[in-house]
Amino acid sequence: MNKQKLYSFFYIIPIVSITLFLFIFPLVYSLYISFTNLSELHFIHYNYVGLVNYIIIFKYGYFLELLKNTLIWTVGSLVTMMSLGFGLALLLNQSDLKGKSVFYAILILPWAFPGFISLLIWQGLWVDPYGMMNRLILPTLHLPKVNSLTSTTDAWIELIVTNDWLSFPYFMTVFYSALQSIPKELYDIADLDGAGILTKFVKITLPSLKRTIAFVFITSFVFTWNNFYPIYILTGGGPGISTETFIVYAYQEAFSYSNFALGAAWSMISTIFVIVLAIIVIKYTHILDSFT
Amino acid sequence: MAIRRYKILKILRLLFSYIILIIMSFFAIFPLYYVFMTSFSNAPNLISLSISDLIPKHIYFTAYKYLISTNLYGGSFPLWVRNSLILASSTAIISVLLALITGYALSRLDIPAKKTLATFIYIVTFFPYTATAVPLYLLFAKFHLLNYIGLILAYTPGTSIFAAFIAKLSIDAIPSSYEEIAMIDGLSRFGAFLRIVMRLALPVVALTAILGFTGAYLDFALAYSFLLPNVKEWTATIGLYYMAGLLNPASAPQYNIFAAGAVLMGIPLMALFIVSQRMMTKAYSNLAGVKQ
Repeated sequence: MNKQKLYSFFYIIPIVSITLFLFIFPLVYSLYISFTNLSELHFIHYNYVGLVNYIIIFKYGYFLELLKNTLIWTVGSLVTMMSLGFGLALLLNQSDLKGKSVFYAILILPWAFPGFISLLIWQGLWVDPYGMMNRLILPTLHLPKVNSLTSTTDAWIELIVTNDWLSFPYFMTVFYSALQSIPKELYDIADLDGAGILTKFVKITLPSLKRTIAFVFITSFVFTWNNFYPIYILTGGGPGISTETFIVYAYQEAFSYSNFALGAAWSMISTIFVIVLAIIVIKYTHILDSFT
Repeated sequence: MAIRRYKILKILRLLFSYIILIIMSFFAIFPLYYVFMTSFSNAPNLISLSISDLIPKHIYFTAYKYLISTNLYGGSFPLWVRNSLILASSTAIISVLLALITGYALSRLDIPAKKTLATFIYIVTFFPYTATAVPLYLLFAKFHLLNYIGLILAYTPGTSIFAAFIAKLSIDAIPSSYEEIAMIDGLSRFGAFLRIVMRLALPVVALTAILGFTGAYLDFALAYSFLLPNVKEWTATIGLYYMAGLLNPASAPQYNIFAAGAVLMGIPLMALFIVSQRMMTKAYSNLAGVKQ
């Protein structure tokens, strides 16, 4: 029996060692780096500098600014994406609507096309003043132009609209399939009782979707919090640092400004957030229960 | 009277639905249509890209010809795609092996502290490549792993852990008597694993391969930080980032060349996405059936 147990370990060694080597080890190492002054100037001969990097982060208000930005980014994206997806799912779920599959096939495209490439395309669309957005689309719709280089509000509009485009099909799909799993009989009974559309929505639809909405909200919250590419590609965190989030700023400090030690310190802070969020997801959604 | 009012309301409701769905369809399709048309135009940059290019009279293949045959920035698009293919296929193969070995262990073997172990490795999946980019870079720089081997190592865990959990569930569904019979017939446990489990869990193998492949193929953050100095080793995503004019605007090629690259890279990946989506839904519905 003991030999059997030892044998089982062989199967688990690869994943455990790869997790230790690629996850725990780098984190410990960059925790160490975050207490040094490793940067382009001090690449080989760097010294222990204590808490200096963390003092910079907390003392000069960067932390609060980035926390605020990350919250605007996450909540702003989530609220708009989820409402858009939910609304479209409701529209598609009408039994007397024709051409559903055609609409669905078109609306799913932004999700199917690789996100990184879409973002590069959107970046070209938003460029002021040459991009199609400011030259064609916004003037046609009689909307004001968007300039993300100078206005923080414009930068957020650009980021959130683009993120909505990338993500609404996912929410639409999830909500659509959840809507279809509600038994039709419930609505038939409500019809007999003479319930209106609004009553049916509040009394049947919303309660049936409560669990789906909660699950989607929590998992997408973590995803959006960690979403790196939209901000990195579209605004680069600008103007100034007014659209920087934790994850983007950590990357830029290290790879755009070569402040590796400061980047490591930001990574530590960002990691703590991710772990806390992950534990909340695991606890709340019981996602692992079905797996173990 | 009431019936007539009901009918008018119904028409209004459907009209409203169609209008919203049509507007959203335009929104969904526009950026993709725009880049598709740009790739067949001969507009050299964003300024010269006119509204008439969106409804073209002539189709030019110059951008595609240029993209395939010309050297860019010391590398070339086919070379970068080849690099990406090497990276992505290696990641896919290693992910499959790792995911199935782990899934098998979680499903069949008696491992102490299984739940803790599962929770621990599951947390890793919450970390996108971008969150661990700085720590991995710092550590890999020390071990001289800022190359393809390092990248493949870094790409593997995320996909394989997620896939290991799906693999675990589908291996649960394979009766263990199959392997026992095979082992009585003289196969070793590992032989039974390769010949019986791998074959029966083929859908999971395929799904893992696709997820690993697209994950690695579309990564930009890690590849950029690891490979930037050496143009010949660039991946297709770095190449596209450069062609979009974000790396070095002065030396970027014409905009229609970028568009051609985006189309050539995006379409196959979009097809893969649709396939993997179908398989994912199928895997989940099979699993739901197993649980009952």
